[in-house]
Amino acid sequence: MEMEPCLLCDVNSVPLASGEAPICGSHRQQAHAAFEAAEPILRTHLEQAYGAELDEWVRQGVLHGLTWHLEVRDHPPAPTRAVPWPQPGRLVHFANDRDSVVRLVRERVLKAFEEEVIPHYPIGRFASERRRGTLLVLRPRRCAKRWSAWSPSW
Amino acid sequence: MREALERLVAELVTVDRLSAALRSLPVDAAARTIIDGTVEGIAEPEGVVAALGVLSSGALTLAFVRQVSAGESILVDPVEVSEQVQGGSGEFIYGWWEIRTGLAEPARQWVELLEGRFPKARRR
Repeated sequence: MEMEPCLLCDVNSVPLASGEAPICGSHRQQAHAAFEAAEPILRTHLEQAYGAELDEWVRQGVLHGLTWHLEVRDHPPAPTRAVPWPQPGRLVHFANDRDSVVRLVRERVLKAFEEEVIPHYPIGRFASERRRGTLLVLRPRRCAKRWSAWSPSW
Repeated sequence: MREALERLVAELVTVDRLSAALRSLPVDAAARTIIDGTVEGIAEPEGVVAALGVLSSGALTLAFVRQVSAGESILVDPVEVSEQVQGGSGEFIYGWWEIRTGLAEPARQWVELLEGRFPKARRR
């Protein structure tokens, strides 16, 4: 019968294909029991060494160095022959590239406005208001819903 | 219509307004949420705390250990121990190595052998 590879039985044994150190079934069981028995000591050690630090930090409730960071994802790159699958755009950090983030946020807000406002906005009314020189007014939703009954979809 | 929207958005979204908004957001409330999340073992707040370096790694390890009830095992399988040693896991860096001489055989010998195989775990 072939002997099970084990670092405890033979210190010169080689790692398994997975990279793990080999251990036989018998030693695994024994070591398992010894580790289990040592757990209370481990808990006690951690509590003694770090308990006060952790409790004090939780009690104080402060987190120095915390601030807000704004980051916006840029447009995804166009697929190439080398990478034909869709990829996410790079993250642009406000702290590093303010103008680019402002541009991206404007694009997103503008898109949201367009999706929300333009489909419901009546062509005739918009045209007449523009003739009168009236600047765009954002309508509340209930009005937009009523208009959408007779306005063409854009 | 689009031009009007563009002008409106350009007025609303500026570098100065975004900067001011970021400065005025409630950091204290966010800090409390992150601290509570760390104690509850939620990964994202733990990452923030680790990145800021406001808490020692030993204390972070203890926060994790406290989530495991006394009846449950933290780390008992030798193969798992091997993986943790190789990765330099917190329990080993801040706990096991402190008590390894108190381990019964063959666990002590197993740990010492692994320590020799994976010196990374000895870093403190």
